[in-house]
Amino acid sequence: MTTEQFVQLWQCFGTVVRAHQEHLDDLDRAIGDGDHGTNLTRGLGKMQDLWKDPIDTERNLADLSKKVGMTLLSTVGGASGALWGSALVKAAPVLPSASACDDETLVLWIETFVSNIEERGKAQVGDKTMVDVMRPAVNWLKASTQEGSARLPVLRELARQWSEDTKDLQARRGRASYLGARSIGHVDPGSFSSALWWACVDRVLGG
Amino acid sequence: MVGMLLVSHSRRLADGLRELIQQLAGDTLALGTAGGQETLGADAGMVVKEFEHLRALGCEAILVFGDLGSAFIAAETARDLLGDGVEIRIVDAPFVEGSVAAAMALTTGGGVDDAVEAAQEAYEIRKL
Repeated sequence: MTTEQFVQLWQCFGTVVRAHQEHLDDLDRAIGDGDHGTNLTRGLGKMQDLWKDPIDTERNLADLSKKVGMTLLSTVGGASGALWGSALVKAAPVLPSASACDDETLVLWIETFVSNIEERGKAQVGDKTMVDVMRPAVNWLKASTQEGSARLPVLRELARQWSEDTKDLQARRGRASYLGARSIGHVDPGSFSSALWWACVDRVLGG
Repeated sequence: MVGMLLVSHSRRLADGLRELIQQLAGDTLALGTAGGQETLGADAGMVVKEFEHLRALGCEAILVFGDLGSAFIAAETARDLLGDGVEIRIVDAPFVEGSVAAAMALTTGGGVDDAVEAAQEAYEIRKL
């Protein structure tokens, strides 16, 4: 991954989240407070200021991960901002202070921030949260990278399916957990936006 | 000095609770609020700012109380960002009863541990 791809990844995420803003809000309205799409769109939109940074040559991956994290921390209210944000800040040292990293480092970076999301949110697979997409996706990526061929278009579809599968789960973390069994039958909005992120991973890094 | 921070999704909820605490425990307590500034929600940036404010007032320790789950995620994240210099204790207690009990403990000569204990005991107190 290069710094350019890193920037493209977050620009892509901003664009697709904006395109799905209403759908994300609708999903959140069913089992949460109805602002997941609006919140994420605001935070990712704020990131445009980061890309305007004129000192391009001084950009490095570790610094970018930290900056993207800090931006999300201070612009996205609610759990998703703190989860994405703190995970990216914490995973930043995994990336080199250089303009590119190899695939192994990329996977380790994703793995580190997914672990941080799990830790901070105290969530596991099956709790009906973003972890239901992030954890299996990073495990799949790790396994297939070790085999030598990460087929990202396949992973993109799987991520979408894993998000869809949260419909049958009862929420055990987050606002939706207050609904108990009534949370069943709705897709978790955090899992949906996570699947959008993996779609961007495919779009930007899959070529 | 031990301070307290109320982290809430709603500015008015936090302000109302502060008002209640000050009436019960007096206004000598260093007591801050964070969250719900423009829209409902609490982010780590707001919490860091309040931590820094309380530290500047001379707090060596800050007890943190939150309303719903993501207030705690924001508080834990803010604790990581703040670095050393002040002890941050995020308290697992009912927002209203816990923070009131802690404030009473602090203003009657109790320390951090007494206040945390008083706050956690609030879970056991039935209302009816």
